[in-house]
Amino acid sequence: MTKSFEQIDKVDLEVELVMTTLKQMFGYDFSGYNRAPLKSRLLSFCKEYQVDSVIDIVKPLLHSPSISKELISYLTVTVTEMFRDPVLYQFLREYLPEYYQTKPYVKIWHIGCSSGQEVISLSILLQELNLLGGSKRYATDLNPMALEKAKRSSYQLANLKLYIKNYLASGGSHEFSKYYVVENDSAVFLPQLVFDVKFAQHDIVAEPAFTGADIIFCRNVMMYFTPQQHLAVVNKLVAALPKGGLLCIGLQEYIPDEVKALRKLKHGVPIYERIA
Amino acid sequence: MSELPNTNKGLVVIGGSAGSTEEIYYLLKHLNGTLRKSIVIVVHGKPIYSIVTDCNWTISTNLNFVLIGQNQTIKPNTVYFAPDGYHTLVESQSMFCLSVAPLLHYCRPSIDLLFTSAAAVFKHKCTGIILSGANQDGCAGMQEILRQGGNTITLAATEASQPYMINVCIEHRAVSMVMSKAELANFLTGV
Ligand SMILES: C[S@@+](CC[C@H](N)C(=O)[O-])C[C@H]1O[C@@H](n2cnc3c(N)ncnc32)[C@H](O)[C@@H]1O
Repeated sequence: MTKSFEQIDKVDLEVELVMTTLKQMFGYDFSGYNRAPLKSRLLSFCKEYQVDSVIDIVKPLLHSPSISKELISYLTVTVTEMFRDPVLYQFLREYLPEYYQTKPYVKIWHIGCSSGQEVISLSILLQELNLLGGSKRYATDLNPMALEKAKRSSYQLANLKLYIKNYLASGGSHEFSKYYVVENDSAVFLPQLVFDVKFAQHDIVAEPAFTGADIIFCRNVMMYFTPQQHLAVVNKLVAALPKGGLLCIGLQEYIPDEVKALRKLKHGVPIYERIA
Repeated sequence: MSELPNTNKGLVVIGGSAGSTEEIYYLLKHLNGTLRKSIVIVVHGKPIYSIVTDCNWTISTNLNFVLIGQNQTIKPNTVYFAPDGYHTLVESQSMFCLSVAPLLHYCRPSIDLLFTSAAAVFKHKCTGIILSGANQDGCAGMQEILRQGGNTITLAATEASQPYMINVCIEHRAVSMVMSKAELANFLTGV
């Protein structure tokens, strides 16, 4: 059925045209993502790149595909920080030593690791608990540019103040500067912190989940999904976890009521155990 | 939290800078009765939900106070609070969504993002209110609400803790009404 001319929101339509192009030309499928954040990211993309309107992104996308990486980086929102939501890391600091005792080694999967701050945060925590040697980790993201940054583990010095504040709030008590060296205006974190990590491009919506992870981090990734997509991905993660496996999500994220197999471990901490 | 049929009579979006907690307290204290619309409050740099619910503010009201989480359902007769550290956007007439996109005008939550997305979804059923503000954030959102046919109100600059934003909105012709605190409380009770 066609809508009357006034009913059509032109910008919404333009957003869909960009999404269709991204899917058909590059295989990125945003159909299960909330529209409002995508639209606002596209509008700021236009502002930053001095493009008149959203529809004007389609043509360059069709003819010089190199801008697709830039655009994907914009749309996927890669903003992250170390020890984000310190309560989670504080909880893990107490919980993990006993958890590791039951296993020869623990496999951990960071989904949507972005530029890697979450991975390094866990490295530091595991190192301080003497558990890094007993860990095998995967860190994946949809966005290839973010993964490149993650592999370099090099972050602007200006951000360190926030990271250290979070680290201290999470119960860390070591001299933070022992974990990195300064190069120009960056803090480069030590390679031995991520020796166990395999980085790979992976789309948690479109591709099957890896199996065998004991702990999954999927934080501030599902936030962007529609309720239907969110439920589907949570179910996928539950199926990938063994009983007793852990799922860490973001502080403002939730587990849908329909999902009965997960139990929150502690009030106020975004971590769940698979119980069935 | 799947989408409900739309029973919503509209959305009132209220924005302010860190100094506006007093004004918000005044408004919430004077709100009574049942609202057909929903209200959402966004304040820069202060965990306004915990300030309202934890402290000894005596707010006796039959309204529900809710901190917005991922894919939060929008219901009438409810006052929603945007969480600190996230942008809150309006996804549909029955759902808010969150984003950790970069700061806008040095702020997250951003008043502009909330107001602009609210305007796109609720059109003439959207009312924007600016209580105070120390920077530009809010003006573009107010303009967008007006453009989509909604109403825009500011507190009288003389009563505001931070009048800068109010004056910017007025200069940009983004304001359809100016009200005193008392008028504003009265107005909100009727929505
Ligand atoms: C806001 S960052 C979160 C980073 C980190 N987990 C944290 O909480 O700070 C979201 C990340 O999820 C990634 N992402 C979005 N959709 C994805 C998908 N379908 N599969 C894998 N990663 C995805 C984005 O590329 C982005 O790097």
